[in-house]
Amino acid sequence: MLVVTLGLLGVLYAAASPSGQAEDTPSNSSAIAQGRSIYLTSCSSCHGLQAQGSSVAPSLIGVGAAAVDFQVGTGRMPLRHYGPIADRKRPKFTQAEINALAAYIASLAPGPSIPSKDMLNLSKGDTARGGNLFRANCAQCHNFNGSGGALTEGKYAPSLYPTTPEHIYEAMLSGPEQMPVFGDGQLSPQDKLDIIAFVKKTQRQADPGGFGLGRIGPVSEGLVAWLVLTGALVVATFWIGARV
Amino acid sequence: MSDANVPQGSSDPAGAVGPGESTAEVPERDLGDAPGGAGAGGSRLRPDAEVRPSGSAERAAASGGITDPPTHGHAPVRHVGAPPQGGPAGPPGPAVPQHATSGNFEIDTHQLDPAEDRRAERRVAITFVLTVVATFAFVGAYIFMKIHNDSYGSYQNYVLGITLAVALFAFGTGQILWAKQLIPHEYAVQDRHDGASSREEREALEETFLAGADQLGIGRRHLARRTLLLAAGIFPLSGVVLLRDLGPAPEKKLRHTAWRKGSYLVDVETKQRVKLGDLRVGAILTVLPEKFDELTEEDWATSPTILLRLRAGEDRPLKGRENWGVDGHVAYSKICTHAGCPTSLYETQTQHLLCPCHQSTFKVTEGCKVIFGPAARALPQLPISVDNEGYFLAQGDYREPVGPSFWERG
Repeated sequence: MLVVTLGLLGVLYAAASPSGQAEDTPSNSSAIAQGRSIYLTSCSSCHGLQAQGSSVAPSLIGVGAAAVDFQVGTGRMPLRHYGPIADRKRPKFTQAEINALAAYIASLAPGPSIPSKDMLNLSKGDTARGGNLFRANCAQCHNFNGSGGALTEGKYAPSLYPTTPEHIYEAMLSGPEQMPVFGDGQLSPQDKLDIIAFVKKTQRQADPGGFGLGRIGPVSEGLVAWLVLTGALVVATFWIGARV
Repeated sequence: MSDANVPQGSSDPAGAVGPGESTAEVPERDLGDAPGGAGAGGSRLRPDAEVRPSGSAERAAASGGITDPPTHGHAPVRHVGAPPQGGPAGPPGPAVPQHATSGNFEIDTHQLDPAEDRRAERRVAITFVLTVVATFAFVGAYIFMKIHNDSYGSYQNYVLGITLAVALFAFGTGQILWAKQLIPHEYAVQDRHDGASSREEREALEETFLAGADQLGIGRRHLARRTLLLAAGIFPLSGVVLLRDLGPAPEKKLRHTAWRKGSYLVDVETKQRVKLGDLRVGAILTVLPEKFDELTEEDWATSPTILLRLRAGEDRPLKGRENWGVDGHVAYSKICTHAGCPTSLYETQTQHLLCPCHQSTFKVTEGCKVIFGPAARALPQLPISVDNEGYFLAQGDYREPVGPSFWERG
């Protein structure tokens, strides 16, 4: 009952929250003001009234607009519950509200900003080079084709397939949760674009066998061959050999 | 085991057939002259008994199957291929339940109900027709479906595979159904032999062995015995010596990497030197010594290193290693100390380094000590410093061997 009530309250709040104002691209200072009001109502209970952080949440001073757009845009924030890792879920806010929130956080201290459309022009990405960079920097956690993998103590690296190019770019810039940071000194904007182009290209590739089996490579294929097919063979053999 | 036991089949201890009437253990054997057995083991040549084909397995089970006591008095013998009694070969006649045994070779002779028989035959026919249909579908798909080059032949591949599989599977299923539902069933019981040899045989073996030992004189002939033992002990040496040919000894290769005092750390992808400020807090980068293209295979295997940048003051360096890092930057071997896998699954909040092979977990801020998994030792740390322009370089080689433990590591 409590859950239902809280859920209803959340829905009512989302309906009543000032999304109407955000429709007309607000000027920077009004965006900051709107972002601040969203921040105070939806974020400050954990991150603090001054975004200074608390014992349960990190400081947001200096994380930049990129981190906000990633965390709120992928629905990870506001956090649903404490756990090993924040899950991707439907975003709570509209993109205009997220932009306002990002503008507010960015106004606190300089930090990585949201990449421009031009920085995400995938047709300018070199997928072959991106593949090399991906395998050198990303594949250890996200798997060689970006389908994700397990980490320690229940944490995991998520699959990159549902992630938009913009959010992948921001994740590299801001290093959300357990992910390392890949600043521009380490992976240049072109490097990042190449990596995203590679990930999105692999994602679009057809699975010649009909089923990708999670695309985690020979492991899943071997598992199917051994458990499913061998099991079916054993069952068929039993049927052939049965008395009846 | 021993054929000598076969005629005394009545000694079987746990057969499904009572001791009184069992005569045969091997159905294939001609049992015409087998002794005794309450008439159950009739002559194979007796012409007056036929066994009709049966088909229904359910009936076989219902009639008691192999555990039924055999019918005494009549001992019908099946003549393979002979037509059912009183009629030519062909479709089975009216349902006449029969039950026959031959020794402990028991035959279920229940006749298939004609209607059931027709249904069974129809099932078989359906599977074969399915084979034909699926084969035509395969041919049709091959001829008429379009191939899209951009996705590996697209749906045609799936249709070809599925129709071929259905055709083959139905073809095989039809044959199995034929065997299971149309062909008469017969159940044979063959009792196990006793495990042990007879007492006489065992005694004879023991005698032979002792006589042989006596003639050998192993207890008497001291000189011969001692030299025999000596030769047996020395001879394997030749094999031991040959082990040297397994390969050149590793000598010092396992103890050193390509890192030298003053080796610049270069990005393994861009091959550029890394300098202060390139990495942001929470970054990880795989580095090798400069000009790593010229490295030997051994150095390629041992030198990969990860450079991490921690938050200022987060690192708690081990005693004596206070000057091995620069401004939060630390460098550790990328080679897991357990089985040599690349250990670079870096969790920046918990400061865990995870090895993907066997889940060894290292705590970065505490000298990469092992906190979970099979690794026995912490990851070796590479002492680094920066030159005047801020480029990272090694203070020297690793102070201990990198990678998995080895015998002479000490």
